[in-house]
Amino acid sequence: MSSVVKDTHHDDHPSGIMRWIRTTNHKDIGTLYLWFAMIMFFIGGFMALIIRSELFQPGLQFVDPQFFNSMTTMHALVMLFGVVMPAFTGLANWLIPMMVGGPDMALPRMNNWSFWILPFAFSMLLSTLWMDGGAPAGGWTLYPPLSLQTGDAFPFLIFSIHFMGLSSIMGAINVIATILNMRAPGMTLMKMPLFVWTWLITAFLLIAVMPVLAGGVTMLLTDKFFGTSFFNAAGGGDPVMFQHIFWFFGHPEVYILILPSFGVVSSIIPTFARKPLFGYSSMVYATASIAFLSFIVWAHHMFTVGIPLAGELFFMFATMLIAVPTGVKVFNWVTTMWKGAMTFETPMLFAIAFIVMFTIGGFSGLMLAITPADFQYHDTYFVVAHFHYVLVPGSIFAIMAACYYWLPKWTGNMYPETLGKIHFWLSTFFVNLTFFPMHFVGLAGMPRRIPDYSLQFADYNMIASIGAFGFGIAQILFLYIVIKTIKGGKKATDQVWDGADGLEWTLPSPPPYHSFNTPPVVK
Amino acid sequence: MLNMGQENFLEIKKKIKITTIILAIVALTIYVSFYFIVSNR
Repeated sequence: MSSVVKDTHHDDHPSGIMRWIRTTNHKDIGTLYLWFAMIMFFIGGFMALIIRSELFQPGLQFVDPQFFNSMTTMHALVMLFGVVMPAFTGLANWLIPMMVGGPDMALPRMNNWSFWILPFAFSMLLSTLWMDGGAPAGGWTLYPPLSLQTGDAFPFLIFSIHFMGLSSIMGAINVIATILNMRAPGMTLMKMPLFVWTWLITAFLLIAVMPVLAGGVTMLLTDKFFGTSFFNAAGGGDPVMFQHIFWFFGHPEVYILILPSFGVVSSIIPTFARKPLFGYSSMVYATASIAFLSFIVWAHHMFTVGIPLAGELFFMFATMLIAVPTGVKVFNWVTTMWKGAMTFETPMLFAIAFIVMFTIGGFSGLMLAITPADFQYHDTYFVVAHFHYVLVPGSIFAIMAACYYWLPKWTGNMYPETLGKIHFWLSTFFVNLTFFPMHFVGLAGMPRRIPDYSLQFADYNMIASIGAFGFGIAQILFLYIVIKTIKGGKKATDQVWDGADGLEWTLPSPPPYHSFNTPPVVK
Repeated sequence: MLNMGQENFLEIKKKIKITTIILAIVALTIYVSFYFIVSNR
């Protein structure tokens, strides 16, 4: 029996558009995911600018309230399911096989399908903007009975969410199957890069909670069209039950959006501090602890709905407990930098900004966890400030850090460092200009999802709107840098960064179509 | 393209299949069980 398996179907490389439609290659699919996320980032960002234009001054300026509500709903759905999740899946596709020393993802055909479902899902979702009754406007949380008042858009919304969920679950199965079965000899679990670890845990979260969302929205669908009363009080159902189901998905979803960021930052900090990551095993256990805790805190989103005192206490303390493993992570990143020979290239700048500003979002999260205080903060701009600090200078900055860090590996070209730094400083300045004032208007009582507001909030809203436009324009520079780097530039070395460590840096820049045809041996 | 021993290759293929089936069953079970949980309240 031959000791070599010749798997020839991988030699077939169609060119042109068919290369991208038929591809089963993890790098091609990673690229597709990343470009999809980039396009959706500008669509979702455009919606954010409509929101900020309307809020530039008190009174109704540009859009009617119904459309404003559609914009808040669609902006959230697009940014969460169309940008952050696909971007991290793109990074996973590009990096996990290279990091674990595998030739490709374990399930390449399913990988192709996972991606190509997404453009259909989002075409369906975005098409609702032109339908009778308008796009969904009941908030991304889809609470009934409000969401059931959606017009023709409703079944399109539900089916697009099903497709997004299906895509995520298939992607997650692929990630787990790859990590558990395709590692190079000697690559034990506790030798895996942190990015791989965080994605493994994220994938388990996805498999556990995406079916819950799918179940919840299917019940909404049957309530609207098939006469069931899952959430209809008149028929014996309970609308609060939907909130429990939604947040049982929604809170772990928050960690699905942030855990891969932790992996990215844990890869970048050691490289530019030129020191190994401090506390590797504690990072792994902290990630697993955060994932576990994420399942038992969901009702902190529902304190004002009315839950028993014992429930309020349990969910308050359980939520606060998440600060412990998160604190372990922040401590480890700072300690990795301590006395390191640090340099501040663009990925490192984004990673450090991530640590500082994600921690600000974490602290406001702790404030929101305090049940009696949450009664004051609930549904105000303080909540909007909190989750945008976690998601924009959190997840989005980590994605940008990852792009700058691995782009030379992917393309073989160095990005223009000065432009990268200008992009970083513009983004950091404007992101704070946008979201920091929201803390103040929130504490003063400005409600979220409202197109008009009291005169007392005018100044800070104007500042936030200026910040949002500045941040949006700065991202055009990011697009320019990415395209310029793909087209050419100074050639990158194989290792790219002198402090970089890991299997992906042993491959040429750009890496060959199949990463490791002969598995490397990890010592 | 994959340059590894055939037995090892088949072994990995089998493990991938088992992992995939288990995970798909878990996802489907969660999806279906939520209808029963909610409708039997």
